[in-house]
Amino acid sequence: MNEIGKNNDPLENFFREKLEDHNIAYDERDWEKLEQRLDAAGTASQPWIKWAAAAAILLASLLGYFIYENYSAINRINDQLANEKSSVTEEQSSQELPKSKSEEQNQSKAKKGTQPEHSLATDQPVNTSSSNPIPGDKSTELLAANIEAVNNWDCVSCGVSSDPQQISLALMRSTSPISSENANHQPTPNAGQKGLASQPRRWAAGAGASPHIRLGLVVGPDLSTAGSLSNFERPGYKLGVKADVFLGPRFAISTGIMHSNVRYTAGSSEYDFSSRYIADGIAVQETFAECAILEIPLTFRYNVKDFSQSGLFVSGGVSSYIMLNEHYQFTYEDRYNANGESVREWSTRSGRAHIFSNARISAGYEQALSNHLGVQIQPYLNIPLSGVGAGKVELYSVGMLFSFNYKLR
Amino acid sequence: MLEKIIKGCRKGQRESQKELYKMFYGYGMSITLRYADSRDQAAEILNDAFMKIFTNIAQYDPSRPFKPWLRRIIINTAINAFHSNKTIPEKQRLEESQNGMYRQEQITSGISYKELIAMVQQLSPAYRTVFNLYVIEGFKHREIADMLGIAVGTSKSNLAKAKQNLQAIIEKNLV
Repeated sequence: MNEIGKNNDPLENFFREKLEDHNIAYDERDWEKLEQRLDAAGTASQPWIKWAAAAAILLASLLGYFIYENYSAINRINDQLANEKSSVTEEQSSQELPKSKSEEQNQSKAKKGTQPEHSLATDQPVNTSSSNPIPGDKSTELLAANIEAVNNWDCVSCGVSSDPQQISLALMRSTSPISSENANHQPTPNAGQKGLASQPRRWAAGAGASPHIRLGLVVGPDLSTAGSLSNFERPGYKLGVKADVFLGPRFAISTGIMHSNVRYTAGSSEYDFSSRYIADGIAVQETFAECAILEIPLTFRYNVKDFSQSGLFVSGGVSSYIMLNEHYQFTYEDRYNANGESVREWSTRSGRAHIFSNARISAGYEQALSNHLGVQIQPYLNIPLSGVGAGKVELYSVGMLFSFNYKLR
Repeated sequence: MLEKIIKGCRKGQRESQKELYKMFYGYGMSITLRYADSRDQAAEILNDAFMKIFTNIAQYDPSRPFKPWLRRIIINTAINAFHSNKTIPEKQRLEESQNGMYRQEQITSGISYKELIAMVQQLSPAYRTVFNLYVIEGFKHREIADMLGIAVGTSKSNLAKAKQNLQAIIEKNLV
């Protein structure tokens, strides 16, 4: 309380007794004004929820579209194969003996020759020399056509052998849920090629992929904390754009710029007060911060696994932070308060930049929607290399980025 | 009861927010009236404080008493209002008492609460704020200086002038 002796001041005592803890009659109009402010603030209080919901809806819609398109393509191929099966069956029944002999010859020749495996890295074609079609023999012509179609088909880790029978089986199993009983029937070359050619070319970088750039719009939730990976506050968010510059089949350099809303709580030892006068000789117990930050990542990305329409990747690098707006709430000891503490707030718009202040590691999954469009999901972890903000806090962040990518030619 | 209301406020329930507002309206207004120039401004400061309370209710520690936490937020909001209104020309100051010493025998308890509030509101914002923080809230001059961004000497000087002015107002009302 106040210095000793001052309590005897009659004027002070008089005002203190009269004015302390007096109850004023409630006025509903004041509540109505407050309610309007609450309504206005309610829609803007947690923007990240809206962004996350929009991103989730967009992602679900795109995935649903992709799944629908995929099944449509499968159904088309199924119909074509079903039609061709019936026509091939009729042809086979009219050419029983000579056809079987020529098939046996082709199979024995295929088995004797050296057949390299189909490989993404080398893109070696399947050896067709052992299965040269016998002129006039429709069945072998069909097999040769399928083999040629396979050679033109970009497929990673298909594991398809050079055996024409195996090739045909692989074709049918991968493109339709046809039972193994039907695997012996050869599809017509036109239908097979047409069905395979209708598959969009691989989105993910791989053999034959030329250097290119992919632009992306990213959004996602962010959890941040100071000092260690624990005691997270309410989630913030990230929103921005990125660019992946693919220099080779699997390797890319990524950068971008993201607006981040970051919330964290720092203990007394995790916030540096030495640079500024906050409270004269009074210890700060805890600091709650809400900051708007521009994050500029610079990472190296490597595609560890490529599929026909998707891929898995890992990336690592650094991020730079530019502090746009910092708002702090300091809770410090105050023995004159009943709860033993007081709260003070302070804000700054310093614009200070922290170059390569954080290391960034992430992994992700990218799914193609067409030749140029794709979606991506990428969990990340930012680890501090130096302190950021007015309090030079070591800021950890974890989160998930959803992005909508566009591949430039 | 209060615990249930606070839980509802944490969930953003409007009914709970209104209950909390009504429960502490009188107490809060008795604080803001002492810092404001008028009743309307006092209500505005109170609503600013409750906006902060509802926004940061998740940070309130239920194991500690709620009223002091609310009180501190209201006082801080009133101080922020003082800072934001610094450019407003101060009210015309009362002439200081020629005596410079108050006459203890002149103070009477017959003055109503409203009259006392009106007297306090006649003070300039700087004097009024220091008077409230020192006499009513019980802060030390060093703490007041930190909060208001002034020197300790200025805090002491403002308090002395506030008391002189209040004495003059009281004497004027008694005449």
